[in-house]
Amino acid sequence: MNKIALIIQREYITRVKNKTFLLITLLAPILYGLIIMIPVLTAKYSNSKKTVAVIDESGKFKNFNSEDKDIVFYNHNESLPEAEKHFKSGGNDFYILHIPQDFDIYNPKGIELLSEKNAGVFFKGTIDTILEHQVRNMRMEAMHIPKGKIDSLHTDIEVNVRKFTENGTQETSSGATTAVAYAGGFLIYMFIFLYGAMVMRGVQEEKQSRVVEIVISSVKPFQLMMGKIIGIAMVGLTQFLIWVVLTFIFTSVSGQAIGAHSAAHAMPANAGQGQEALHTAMSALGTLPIALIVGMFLFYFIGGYLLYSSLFAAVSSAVDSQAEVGQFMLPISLPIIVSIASISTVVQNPDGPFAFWMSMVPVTSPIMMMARIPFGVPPWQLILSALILIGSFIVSVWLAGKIYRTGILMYGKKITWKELGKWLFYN
Amino acid sequence: MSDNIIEAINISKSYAKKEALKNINLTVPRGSVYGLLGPNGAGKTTFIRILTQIIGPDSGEILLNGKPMQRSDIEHIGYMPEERGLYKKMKVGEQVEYFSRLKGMSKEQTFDAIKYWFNVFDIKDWYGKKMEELSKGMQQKVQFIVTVIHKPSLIILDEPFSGFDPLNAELVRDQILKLRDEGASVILSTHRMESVEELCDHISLINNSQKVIEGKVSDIQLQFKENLFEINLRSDPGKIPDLKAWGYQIHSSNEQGDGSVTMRFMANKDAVSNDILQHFMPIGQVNSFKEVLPSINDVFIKLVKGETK
Repeated sequence: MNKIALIIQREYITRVKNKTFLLITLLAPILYGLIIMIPVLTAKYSNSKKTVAVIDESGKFKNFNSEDKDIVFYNHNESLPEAEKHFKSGGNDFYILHIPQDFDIYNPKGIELLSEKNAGVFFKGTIDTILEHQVRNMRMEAMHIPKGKIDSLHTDIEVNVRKFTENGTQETSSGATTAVAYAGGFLIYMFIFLYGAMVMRGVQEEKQSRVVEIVISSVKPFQLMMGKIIGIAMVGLTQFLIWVVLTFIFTSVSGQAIGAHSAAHAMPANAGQGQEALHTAMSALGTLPIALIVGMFLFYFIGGYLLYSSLFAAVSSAVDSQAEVGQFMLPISLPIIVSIASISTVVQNPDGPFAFWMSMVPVTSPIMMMARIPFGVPPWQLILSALILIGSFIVSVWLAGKIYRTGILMYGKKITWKELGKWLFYN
Repeated sequence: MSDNIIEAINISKSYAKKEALKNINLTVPRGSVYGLLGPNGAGKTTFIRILTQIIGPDSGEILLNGKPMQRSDIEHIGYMPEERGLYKKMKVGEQVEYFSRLKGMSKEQTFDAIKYWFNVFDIKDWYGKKMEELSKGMQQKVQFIVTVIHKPSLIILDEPFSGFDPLNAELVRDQILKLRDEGASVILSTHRMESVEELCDHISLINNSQKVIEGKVSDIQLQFKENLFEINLRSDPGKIPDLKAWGYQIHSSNEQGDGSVTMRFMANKDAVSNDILQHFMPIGQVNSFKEVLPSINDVFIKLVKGETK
């Protein structure tokens, strides 16, 4: 068998056979699921009823009502100082909403919400909305606009977003597109760091255990480096594939579970709503160029990974311990961090000059282009960006190979950037 | 085919600030155990790395079997670096298999070779154990197996006995000699002189990046002999004259328990041993008489010290 294939095989098998790999591969989706689900579930099942005592000294407000059943309002007849005295016996979820005597609906200031603990941002938001609603109604009444007319003014509009395709126009969803843009960018970011770090550790392990000298007496340093990089890339792709399959199983199983659950509870209205929401999300996703996104994801993952992991391998080979990698890591990973921080800017204006240039520069393009693709990118830009990336990783792999073959045999030397530069010119 | 497995011609190599090898010419005869000697930092490791094609020389050429060395030749070389190391988390058997396959062996060949060597070193039970579970001595055995498993025609061992207890060192020594008898050539880099005299047929000494001497061990000993003789003599103490009268310089004189005297003395350059012996025969009974040749250690120290002076 070809020697580089043997190295790839070893790098791949030792990692995939590792119990930690299996555990992480299986647990990661569950953990991600939990991270998303936990806040939703806690919000849903923590039935902390909040009691709000309203002291309306102005007498202008009508009965308070909330759509949220967990918030109960009642009019409190004591003055504020008296109410404060009784306050502590009220418990943690007891609030006082104080509206001062001189409250002016045209200058709505001075309303206070008092409590023993900090009111949560969502709860405060609910109270704000209720007050705003009431004040607006009061102003309209002052203008003698009848209640019926006020209600008829209330409208809800959802714009249907459609885009041009070969077969006329097609409905799309900005929400789903944005979500996919973020997800693509984040996944590339995660994968580059995750597997880049794996390459770095692998190189360091071989250097520290000194096994590297034996290996490179059988193969060229470059073969060893590339074998490692490719082997780990395959580990990454395996993990990705397993996650895709797991996600598919998970969504179809949970989709069925939702359906079954609704049917069992005979709640046709709710079930209809749930399924409709699911259907909308799915059909929105369906309008995205999924094949293109997945294909480009694989390309940018491999391209970005090759670019960065070869640089990681180079600096890791140059130092004697994992701890020393730090000084080189920051400058190398800076572009990745900048890219991830720029996702929101790019998503807001996916065709702007910033987005364009960021998706051309090879050190940022893997993340930036993934954030642009769901919105549609002209083919020439895709091709140009891809070619630049291919050219760059060839150069970076070549440079890294030169540093690597000197670095792995160098011990006990404090390495500087200048030193690394010199190694590029060694025979 | 050339009589020499390796001929190094004018090898030079410099690192950024330091010249590691200056015009080194070495010849390693086929089927010999060749000692590459020199103090720390002399350039031995650099030379070995050039032989194993880990690095390239700045100038000069290496001939293997009389032909310029090719990349594919590394499959015929087995190399054990001074700094030992294998994959800690890998199992012993998988590890040996991996390295033998990297050296171009097929799966079947590897299987047979593993069986043979694991028997020789009595480590069959360790096949499925991880390297990190092994004692240091055990790891050294595995390291040696990895070096020779592919039946290399040239075996390069950098300080092969470090880390072995005396028993295992002997086992390894015997295997080195056995491999030589089976046709392999061995280059042994070391600064342990006792193992050099025991094992090596040829040596070269590198100091300050340059070759100082090269040749057969026995030739070098003759070259550096100082006409030192040792005699054991049974005689009346009063009968022994002052050796200066014969032109000898006495180095030591020790009375033995049995009443005899052992003397070491240096004779003139042109003194012949038969003449010397004739001086002593009338004064007592000569139990033993021999010329003392310098040890390689003496030669080494003399040369290295002379160089630094």
